[in-house]
Amino acid sequence: MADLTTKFQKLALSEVESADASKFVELTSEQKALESQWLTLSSRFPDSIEELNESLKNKTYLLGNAPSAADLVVFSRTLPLALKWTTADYASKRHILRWLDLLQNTLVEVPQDSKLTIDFSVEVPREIK
Amino acid sequence: MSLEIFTDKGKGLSALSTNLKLAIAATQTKIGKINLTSEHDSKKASLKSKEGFELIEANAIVKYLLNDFNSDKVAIAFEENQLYTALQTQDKSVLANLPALSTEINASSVILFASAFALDRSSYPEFQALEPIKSAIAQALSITSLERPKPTYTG
Repeated sequence: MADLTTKFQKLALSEVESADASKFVELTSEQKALESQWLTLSSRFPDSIEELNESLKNKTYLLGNAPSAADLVVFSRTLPLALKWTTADYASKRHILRWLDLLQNTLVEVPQDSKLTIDFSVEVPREIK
Repeated sequence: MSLEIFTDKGKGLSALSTNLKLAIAATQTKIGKINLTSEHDSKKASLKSKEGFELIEANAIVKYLLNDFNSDKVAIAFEENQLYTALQTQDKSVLANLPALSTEINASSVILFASAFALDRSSYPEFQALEPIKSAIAQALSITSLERPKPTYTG
């Protein structure tokens, strides 16, 4: 995974909707289904934002431990919402914020004025599992 | 992988569409016998495995169960955009633009048919006359508690 992200040339934010899926690892049936799910649900955001956070609780990326083209598309649809979140939203969206920050630092070239700035000094209550 | 499908407990046309998709996909699945369960705590539909795999979106569940990720993308886009909105507003005008549907049971035909049927039960008569579809319709109607339309007072 680290190998893939280090070799991957960052895509501009404006190009992520047309990301070349062949640059990523081949998907299993389960991953194809998750990809389909998040492409559909992300087109209806902010509905399902809570489910996105829950889904990212146990995974580094949307489909598991490796990045996919779906991460890039859903990233571009989530970022505009996340830019409006305040520190009061951190607790309920902590896994999305972690994922967005990872992507904007590894896979997507986000213009400085659209970049998500996370205040890491904010104390967030421990998550109840 | 041991799978279980949980129904949508909503009372609107979207719930009927979802439950019909799940009922058809459960009978047509390439994965093995799967039960549709309506006795569960969550209100939303899902597919879960004991290993922790979970899907919460009906169209993704249909594609997964039928192992069909490449069927008619235009038909699915019509369902996910126009029919999805029409189901929320109960606006039947969208039915005038319904794409044609063959009688082949695949992911796109199941997805498109279920939402068109939920909006208007006379949609795609040839498709709904297919034996597995008939029984899935009966099952979906039996597990979905639709709200009666509110009477409109005109006087």
